[in-house]
Amino acid sequence: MALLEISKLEVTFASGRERLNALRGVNMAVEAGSRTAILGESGCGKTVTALSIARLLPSTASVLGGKIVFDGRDMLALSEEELSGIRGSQLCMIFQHAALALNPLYSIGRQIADVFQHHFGGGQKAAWHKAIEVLAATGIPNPEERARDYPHQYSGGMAQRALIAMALVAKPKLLIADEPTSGLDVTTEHQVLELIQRVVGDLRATLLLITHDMAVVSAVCDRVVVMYAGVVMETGTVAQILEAPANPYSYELIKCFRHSKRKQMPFIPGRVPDLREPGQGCCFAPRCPRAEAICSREDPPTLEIGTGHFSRCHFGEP
Amino acid sequence: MVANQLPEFSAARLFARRSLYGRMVEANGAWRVHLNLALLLVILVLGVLAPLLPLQDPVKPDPLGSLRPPSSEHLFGTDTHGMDVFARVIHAIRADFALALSSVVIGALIGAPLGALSGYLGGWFDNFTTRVTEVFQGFPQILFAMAILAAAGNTLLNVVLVVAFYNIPVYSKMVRSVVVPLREVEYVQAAKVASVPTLGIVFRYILPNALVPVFSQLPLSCAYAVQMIAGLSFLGLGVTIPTPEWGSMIQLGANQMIFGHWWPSVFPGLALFLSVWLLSNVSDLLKSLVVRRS
Amino acid sequence: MLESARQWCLFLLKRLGFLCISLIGVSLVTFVVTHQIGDPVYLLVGPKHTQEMLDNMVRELGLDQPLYAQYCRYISRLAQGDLGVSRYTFSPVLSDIRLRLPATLELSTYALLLGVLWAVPLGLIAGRHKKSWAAKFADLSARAGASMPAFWLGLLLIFVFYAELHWLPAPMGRIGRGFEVGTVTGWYTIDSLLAGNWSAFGSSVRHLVLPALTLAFTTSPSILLITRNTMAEVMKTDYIRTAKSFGMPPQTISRYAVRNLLVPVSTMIAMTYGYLLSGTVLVEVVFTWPGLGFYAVEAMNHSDYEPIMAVVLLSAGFYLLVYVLSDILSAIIDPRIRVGG
Repeated sequence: MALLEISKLEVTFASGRERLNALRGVNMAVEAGSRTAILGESGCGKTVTALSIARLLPSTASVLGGKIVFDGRDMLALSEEELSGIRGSQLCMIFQHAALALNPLYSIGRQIADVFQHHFGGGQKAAWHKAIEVLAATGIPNPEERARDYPHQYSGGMAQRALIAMALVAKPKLLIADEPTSGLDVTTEHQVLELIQRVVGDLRATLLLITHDMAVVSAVCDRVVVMYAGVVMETGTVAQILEAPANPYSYELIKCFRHSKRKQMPFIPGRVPDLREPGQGCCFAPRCPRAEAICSREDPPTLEIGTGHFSRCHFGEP
Repeated sequence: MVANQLPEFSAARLFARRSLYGRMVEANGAWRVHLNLALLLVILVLGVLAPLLPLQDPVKPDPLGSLRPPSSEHLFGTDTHGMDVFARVIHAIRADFALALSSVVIGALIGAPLGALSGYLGGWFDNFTTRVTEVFQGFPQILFAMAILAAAGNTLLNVVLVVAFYNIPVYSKMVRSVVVPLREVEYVQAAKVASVPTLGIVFRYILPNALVPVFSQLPLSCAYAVQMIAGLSFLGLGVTIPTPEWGSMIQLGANQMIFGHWWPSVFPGLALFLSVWLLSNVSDLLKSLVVRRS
Repeated sequence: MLESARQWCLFLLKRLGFLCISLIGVSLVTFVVTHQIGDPVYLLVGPKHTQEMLDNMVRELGLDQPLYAQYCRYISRLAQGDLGVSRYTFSPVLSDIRLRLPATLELSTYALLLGVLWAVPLGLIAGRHKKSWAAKFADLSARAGASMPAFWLGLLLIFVFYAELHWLPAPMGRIGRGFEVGTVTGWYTIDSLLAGNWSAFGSSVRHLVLPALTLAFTTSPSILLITRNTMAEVMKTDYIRTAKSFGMPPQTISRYAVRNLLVPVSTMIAMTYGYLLSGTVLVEVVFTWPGLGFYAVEAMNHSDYEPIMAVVLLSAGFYLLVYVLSDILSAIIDPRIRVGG
């Protein structure tokens, strides 16, 4: 029984008077204890998927259909009250650009202490000490002083550590990290990723990592979900996907990574489909070097390539 | 590669340049746009055509017929001098809107170039003009206008000039904020290299970007101007009796309110209220056209 | 700790500098207006004069002196509190103002309080629940308040509540006839309470209701809009999303959000208060409220020029003071402001 199971998730956004189809039937399963990456180009729906799990979508979004089952609970059916009970203690999400993800008018220590107090009770002093403790555990020097500082006084890397410290305090079962290293330099990125791995290991938690960077995936994760234009194209272990991708899109993506510089977004010729159009057939067909007539006519099925390796394509190989 | 089987994009929808009117309707809904524009147009037309309309004489006093309540003969009743309130309210559109519009236009014509130059040149000129604007931020507008009019004379021209003066900083700031980010943009740099003179750069390349924000602010400035002019007239500054003007009409009828004669003051006030409301709405509609670049 | 103290000193010095320069700027403007626009001699002497009076005035004003000397004289007079003498009350303007300032302050303060009590809660709700009836109502009332002429609204309220319903007293000043109120603060409400005079208190309140409501309704829209807009923006921020994602309850989310509203909203409240000191002119005229605005209008009607300029100076100075104080308050709340200066 997977810790998290998403089936046929459809999400649209209202933009002016039009609707954008952000997710068009996402199917995904995350096993407890795994470190799964959601990999894809920008706009493919990976962040929207993550936000949907935690029910943190903005008000312009509507979930049109599908199911999200986390730890046996139907997430889409829960009320706000029930949700706030689950968030933090069962699952939590940390965002990119950490310095902006922290309240600028409260000290870091205070924000972490508040999370601790809410989940575990106790007095302010105990919570404050706990905050200093986790800040130290994430490798922030001078934690007693740093706890009194405000987010604008933290560097990008330190702010991300502070967010991870918050997760350490909350002790969730599932940690969702949305591009935690965007905007960070290589050294800091390395340190943050190491920290995330250590924390997830210490908490014995499951990690769901959103990224567009293949190198991050291969460094940290054991499973990959490749997304494109609001659907899942391929899922499998890192080894399966990197060495023997079955889906033409994954194949092209990996080819791009191997040939381009690390920090750039992968570039496949052609344009990402217009999310306003409902579309027919495989969404990748216009750019797919392997496409045939059937691809633009019929929705591709999900083929089982190997154990736990699935590809959404009419063909079993790229 | 099946190149000729593209998914159906409606290219027309993606690439067509929608007109300003079309964009306004799309952003705000047809009802809002049409209702506000139509009502404002009606008011303006009524004002322009006032002398030609079949109205009673707005400045003919009728001492025997004073303070008549609204009736079929006098739609809005008559005031203390017996003048027909309805005709006066309509004729007052001319005074209020003409004064307001001229003030705003003069203010914008001075403020916009000032802001453009200030933003483009930067340095001490920019600093100086910004500080001066800040000093006037806290000035009590009506009181100061009273003082100026008392000092320089209570004429219509002075009223227009004072209100225009209050509009200068609004447009100066607005245009400046559009100009500053454009200073470093490529085509401006190119023009500099080609030694186009400074004023030329400012006027040909930069100012046009400020046109839409400025135009969207104009109706709102007119709204404020009308309020100020009416307020000054209420105090006896500006328009002279018996010229119909909403503020002075309200003042004329003020003493009658406590005796239950509400119509000489209420109707001009309603007209003033409605005009300001419509102008503000139209300004909002125009502002929705300003494309936000992130 | 030392760093923070240094930041504060720098910040305060900058704000003080701004205040001083602005006050000088204000005094320059009023100087120019009183001495250069129109014929200052004529203005100060008045319509009934002789040549000798004109000559005396020229000498007294120092108009035969160079400009900077005139300005220095002007400043030194101001510093001594000499704002001139009113030609129709025959008293020094300063003492006239002292008498009338509490009336305006009392009215403005209650108007502001009412406005804030109305605008802030409504703005918070409208910002948090954007599609609700509250939001639509907030929109409408803000637009109405901003478009409505205050003097007309005042008259309307007088008509309804005094002329027709007789619920509230005639618009003839601050308190009913025959009431005696001591002068501790000059605020009739406070003074009557201090004296334990309940009927005087009641009367002063009943006289305050309509003018304060009029002012509150027409000046609160800006507070309403900034509260609503800031609340809506804040609820969409990443940090609120983070707080939610860590399971913080709605009360904590509200607390987190509200702190981020404090600076813009308090700044707007301060600006409104600064504006109100002079913005009461028209309402004071309608309600015959013996405050600064009424004083200035009466002076104008008597061709008495100095009181008007004195009130202008005072209002501008008051506004600047309130503005700087609110800046300092903002810096206390938001540490980022201290760095920006």
